[in-house]
Amino acid sequence: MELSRLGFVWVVMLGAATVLRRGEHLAVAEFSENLFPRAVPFLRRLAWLVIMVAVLMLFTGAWRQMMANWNNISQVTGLPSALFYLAGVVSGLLMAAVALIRVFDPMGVASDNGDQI
Amino acid sequence: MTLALFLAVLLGSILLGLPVAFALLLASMALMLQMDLFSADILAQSLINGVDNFPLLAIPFFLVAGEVMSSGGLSQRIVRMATTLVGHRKGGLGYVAIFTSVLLAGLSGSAVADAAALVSILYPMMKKAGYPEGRSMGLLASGGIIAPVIPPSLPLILIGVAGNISISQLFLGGIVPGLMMGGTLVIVWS
Repeated sequence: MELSRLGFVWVVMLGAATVLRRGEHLAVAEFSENLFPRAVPFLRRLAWLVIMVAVLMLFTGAWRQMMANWNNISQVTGLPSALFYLAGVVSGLLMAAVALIRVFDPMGVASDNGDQI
Repeated sequence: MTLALFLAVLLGSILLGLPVAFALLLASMALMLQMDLFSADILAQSLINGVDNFPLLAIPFFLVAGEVMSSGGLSQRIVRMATTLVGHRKGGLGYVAIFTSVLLAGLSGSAVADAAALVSILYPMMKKAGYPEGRSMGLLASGGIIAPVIPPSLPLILIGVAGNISISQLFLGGIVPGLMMGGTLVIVWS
């Protein structure tokens, strides 16, 4: 059971990074596209910047928790609970890299970025 | 004040086009800053612990099961069975659509998957048989929304996990409303 939960955490965290790269996170783009069409490129950049800050926070927090939990060994599986946080570290780093690239090239995703809803 | 800040940041960032997941993160970060409690550790901990949940494992497995069943041709067989049972009546393909959507709802838990399977098989058949386009699409779309009500249902699992409610009780509570939805569609169609 614990192993499957660990696997699930990894699936979700890596999935979040993959989905971010494909630009498939649930978002409402219609409002900004219709109300301020000229500001859309700026808003996209701003959104990617916010995403970068948020995932860097995830990365920092997960890194600290990972370092603190290497010696915290699970009774059942014998694995350190730091492995859960390692998923956050890897995913945070991947997402930060994606966000950094998109800050400079926000249209890198398919131009119909907002049709996910 | 705290609630107003939370809602303003959340709704403002969603409306400006930020993905919902990150808007939630931003709103919680703003809240932590306002309460002087900001810590990246808490953020990472609540994110990881939120996912570290056994019942949520059902969701990827339901999706895999749905994929296996659709590539195995189960949806087509269900349509064939429904056609044999109710297809001979007047307006038969409509009843076939309703019957199939109720049966498929008991197999897949997602409205999108159910509607996609239904439309891809039944819409060409209905079009060929000369059913009006708007009416048949409306019926197929309404049939699709039975899937999240009849168990197994992905939204009910999420509600159960988020609200700490028994998922099996939620599932039991979904059977009759789901069948009633099917019944209502039959009445409207006839």
